[in-house]
Amino acid sequence: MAEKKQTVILQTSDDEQFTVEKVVAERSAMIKSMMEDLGDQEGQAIPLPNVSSSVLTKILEYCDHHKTEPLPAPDANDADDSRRKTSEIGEWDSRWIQVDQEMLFEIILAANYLDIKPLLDVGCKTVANMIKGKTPEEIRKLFNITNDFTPEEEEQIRKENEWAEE
Amino acid sequence: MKDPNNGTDNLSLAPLPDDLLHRILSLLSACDIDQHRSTLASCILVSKQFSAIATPLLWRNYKPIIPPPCDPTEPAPIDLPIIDTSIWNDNLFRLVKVFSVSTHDDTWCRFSRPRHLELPNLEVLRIQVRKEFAGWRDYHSTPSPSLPTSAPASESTSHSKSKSKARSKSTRKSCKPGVKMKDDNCDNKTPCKLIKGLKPRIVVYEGTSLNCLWPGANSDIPQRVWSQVEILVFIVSAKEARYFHMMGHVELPERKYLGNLKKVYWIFDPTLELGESHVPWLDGNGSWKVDWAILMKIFMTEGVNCHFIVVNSAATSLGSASSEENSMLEIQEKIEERFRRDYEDKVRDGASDPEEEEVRRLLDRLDLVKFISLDEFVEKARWWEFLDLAELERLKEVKRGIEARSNL
Repeated sequence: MAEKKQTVILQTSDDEQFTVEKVVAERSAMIKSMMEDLGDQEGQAIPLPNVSSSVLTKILEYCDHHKTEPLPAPDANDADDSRRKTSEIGEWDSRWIQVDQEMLFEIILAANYLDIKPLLDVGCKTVANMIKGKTPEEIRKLFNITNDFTPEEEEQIRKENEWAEE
Repeated sequence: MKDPNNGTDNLSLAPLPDDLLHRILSLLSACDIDQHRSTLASCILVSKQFSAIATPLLWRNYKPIIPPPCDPTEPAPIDLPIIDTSIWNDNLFRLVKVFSVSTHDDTWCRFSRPRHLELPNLEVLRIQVRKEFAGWRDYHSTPSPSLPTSAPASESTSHSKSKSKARSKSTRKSCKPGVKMKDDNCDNKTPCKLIKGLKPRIVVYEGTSLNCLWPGANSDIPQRVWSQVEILVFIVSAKEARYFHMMGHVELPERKYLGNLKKVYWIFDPTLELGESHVPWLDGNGSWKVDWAILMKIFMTEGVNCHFIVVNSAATSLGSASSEENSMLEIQEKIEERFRRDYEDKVRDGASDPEEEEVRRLLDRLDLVKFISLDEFVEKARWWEFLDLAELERLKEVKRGIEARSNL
């Protein structure tokens, strides 16, 4: 009985069900609050329509590794915060995040949806490191986006921001 | 049983939501400031979405390109560069919270349009004195002839004009920018037009030598700039701390401009001196030696009632025998002791009656002084208001270096 209470069932977008330890699932502030809402309705799966099974498998690995750490306090000022913290990624995390780019982006989107702040940080820092020192064209390629500026707009922007180029 | 609407295959093609992109681009600030800037400048050109997010991040910290000052030994170029105000954009200027400006030729900032730079949301003004101009008290590279010709009793070079001229001659063949000498008949200083209209809450003197820290009434930094300043930060090269300064030569802005001053941070940055033989504090006899002219001057000014926080003082002992014998905390304590003793002496020496009210008042102010380590500073001060993360990392790096040495 006691053991049963410590697990929760998560259902992914591709209809796979995962039985997960509560302490692991609680890393996600979103799942945590859903569990609280559901109360004791055991056996009821929590649907995660925005997360695929492959991404969830990966994320659960992260949550399991960090399950004993204290949950982050909801931070008041994110913008200030990013100017205070170093971009160092922990050793385990940096090995864990070595995935292909598509997976990396999916992890970030899922971490955002599931509300796992430290994981979101790891993902965003990894992408930030990929952007560093790149040209506009290289960044477009990385994010698979097209240039939607007119040549005139581009020229104007280039001029205004010339001071910042090395 | 797969959901046919599940779009995982296309996820990476979907644009990142704005809040996530903002989060990612905000994290770029952890790297070196120049790289940070050029990366953000690249982001701005990527697409409209990127531009909207990266523009405020880049312009938060604005540093105009300043042409290197002229070589005084060469004939002046006919077309000295002046600021190109045609690209000024008020919408972008509204985003600026931190403005950095460094030593420049005063012909550069004499732009012709009848306006000055307006940065309505400015919080921090950072003044960087170019290394080759250490010794001049102005951040304009054209020193004014109104500069007192009597140099402070100082081991430091280039305070007096004659010395500087000699130096200029000695560098005649080099292509390094030097100090440009102005015609002796020239007017007094022109307050820098560029920063005239700024009203920062924090002023940072960055990476400069003590010799350059002259925010005085006779400076080319317009006095009005000081009127809102609550926090004054000196990031001081540790090496320069060995130079001797006399209080009489230290100038402050007029008192009415210092009414809002609440805190002075005095941060030692020994980065550039790593590897050089000896950094300050100790004289030949092994006793602590330091001159506190500027600190004391501000401190003894009536009506200025601010806290003094001396940060990272222990790091200045790097390379001296003391750093091997004492822990950083012990070094800091010794320096603090020395400061307090020097201050008391100075206050008592200047007083006719050592019991008078004024002496008491000045001595009581010692309560406002605090010596703190880098760790305490990181923990307690709101450093992110005026320092970059990368700068703090640089200071920490030095600290780690010292600790590693003292563990040897």
